[in-house]
Amino acid sequence: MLWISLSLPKSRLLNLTGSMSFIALGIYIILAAQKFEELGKVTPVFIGTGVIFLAILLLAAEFLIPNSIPKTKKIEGSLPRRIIFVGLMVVWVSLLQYLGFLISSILAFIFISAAVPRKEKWSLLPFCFHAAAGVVTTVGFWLVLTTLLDVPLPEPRIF
Amino acid sequence: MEFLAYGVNAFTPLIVVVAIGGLVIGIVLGALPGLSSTFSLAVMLPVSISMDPVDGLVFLGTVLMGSTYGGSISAILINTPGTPQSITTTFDGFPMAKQGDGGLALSIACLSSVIGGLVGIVAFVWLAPPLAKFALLFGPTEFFWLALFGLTVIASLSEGNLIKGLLSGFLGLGLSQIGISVVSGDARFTYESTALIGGIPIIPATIGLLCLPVAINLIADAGHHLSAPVNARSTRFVAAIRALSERKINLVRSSVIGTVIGIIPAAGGAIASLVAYAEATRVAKPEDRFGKGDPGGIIASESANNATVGAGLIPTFVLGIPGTPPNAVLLGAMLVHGVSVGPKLFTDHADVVYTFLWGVTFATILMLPVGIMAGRYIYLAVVKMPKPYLVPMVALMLVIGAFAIQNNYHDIVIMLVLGVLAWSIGRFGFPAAPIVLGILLGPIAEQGYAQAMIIGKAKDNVLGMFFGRPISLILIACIVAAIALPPLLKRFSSNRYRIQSHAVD
Repeated sequence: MLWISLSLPKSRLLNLTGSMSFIALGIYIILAAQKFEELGKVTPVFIGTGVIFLAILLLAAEFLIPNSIPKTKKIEGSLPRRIIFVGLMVVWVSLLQYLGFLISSILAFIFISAAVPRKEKWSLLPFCFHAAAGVVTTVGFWLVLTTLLDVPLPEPRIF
Repeated sequence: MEFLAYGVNAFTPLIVVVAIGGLVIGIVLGALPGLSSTFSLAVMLPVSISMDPVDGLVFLGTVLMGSTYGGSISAILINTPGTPQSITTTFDGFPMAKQGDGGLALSIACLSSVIGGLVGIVAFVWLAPPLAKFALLFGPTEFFWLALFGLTVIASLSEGNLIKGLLSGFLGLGLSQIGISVVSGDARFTYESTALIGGIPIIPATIGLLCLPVAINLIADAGHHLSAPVNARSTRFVAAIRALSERKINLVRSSVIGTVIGIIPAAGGAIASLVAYAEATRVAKPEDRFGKGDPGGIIASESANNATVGAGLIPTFVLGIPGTPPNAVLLGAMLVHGVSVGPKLFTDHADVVYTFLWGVTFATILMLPVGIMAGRYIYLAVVKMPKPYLVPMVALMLVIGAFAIQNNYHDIVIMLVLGVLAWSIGRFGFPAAPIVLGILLGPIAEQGYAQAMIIGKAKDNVLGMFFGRPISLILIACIVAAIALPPLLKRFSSNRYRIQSHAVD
């Protein structure tokens, strides 16, 4: 198996790994469904079987019908910036419970804005302008939601 | 005729103001991701109660109409359906916006919404009693087949590879199994987490799966989010009318589908737009580009979901059964105003009902200028907005949208996790849209299947329960046609092309 894996092109290897992962997921769903009531396990077992069947079909298509599976898309643009964005979202969502909506969202707005690539050279003035716009926007949303629409946004818990 | 007689009462200056106000509020709330029609109606309910019964109901009716259309604005411009009814609008609306046709897409959405909305109201006025009886013919078996029919649209959403599209659909079905089972009461795949007990909520899931990947890609380069065409200021209204007139059959068919599905309790606009989209793709010509920016996709989705607004009032008003959550809010408002629903509504409260219908009809027509202008200005704002402001703004709307509907912190976490999952597997050719469909339709299919099974076993006729009812048979025929026809038509058209090529040679 290892030898087969090493001798495969990268896109085929990814499809192979994907198919195997889906087969494992299907098996897990079927096994986990065994502890449910009779009526409650019908659909999960059907779904698990469907996932396994389709994953085997994907595997067969990959090896038996050349070029039937499209190659993996190449990532366009900056991957590190994407990772930074997701990281900032995770931090934002984590802090939401402690700092509340207003403070965490203003901070997140400013940091995400700073992470966006710019065509022109980085300078303080446009950054301050976007940060100020972020503060106004966040406060505006907060006011509309909490006062006009009566949506209770998360309150700070550490103060 | 009684309906026409009440027309004069409807056009008072106050009702005109109320209708315009309701429409604008509905469009704005509907355009914000996550704030659904139900939410819009619920927050406006106290405002309506302070009004006269007719004015209050017209206000709520126009908020519902406006929010249903408003959902298409964010669906087209940032790939985030403002309401679940607009999920299918993203399939072609966002690709059109990416290609510089955002203004055209918004105008098509507005025109389709108006026409679909009017068809739904006409159905209510002329066909309410017989259609209400038809709605009662829908039982669990029919819901099961209807959900399966909705899933056939996956085939047309699977650009690149059908197997990967189906796998995504099954992944969505799998996600729909998380939480307390509606059929057995088991806590399935919850891992003793209280956050998962309630299952995967559809709105945060939709926002995460469809919009977060767009936000993740937005930050990757310094270019503009949408390409700005030379005529960005134009609404391209004439081009939109031309697009609709070239797709008249699609428009009529989708409006009728929306009307029929709208009267079925619990089906709603999301299912209607899904079935209409599936039908549009099933009969598509080879040159159509569904899923890649075809105006026909927007026409199908928007005309169907707006037709459900008027049609959804039929079971609510005639039978007292609110088919969808927004209709339940409307029903509540009617009861608060002392208007009792049921078969006698049209005789006991004819003035309220018919004036309400005139008000909603007027608001639907009014949606054309208001909706087009709103769409135009929002489009211009999104096109011109600098990315350092747009990206955090989109992220903020995602967080608010995921949170606001249930005021639940865990919904934001679910949105984030599913969004990252959708972006990751999207790289390997697994589309996110079928996952959304799976989450949406999974519970409907499972509940229908389980209830039909129980009834079938009790009657000792399981097969008859699934395959012996007229509407079920029609739906089964539609499913078979949806699966078998596209490859057959493709083969037929390629054979015809080959014959023509030989003839030319």
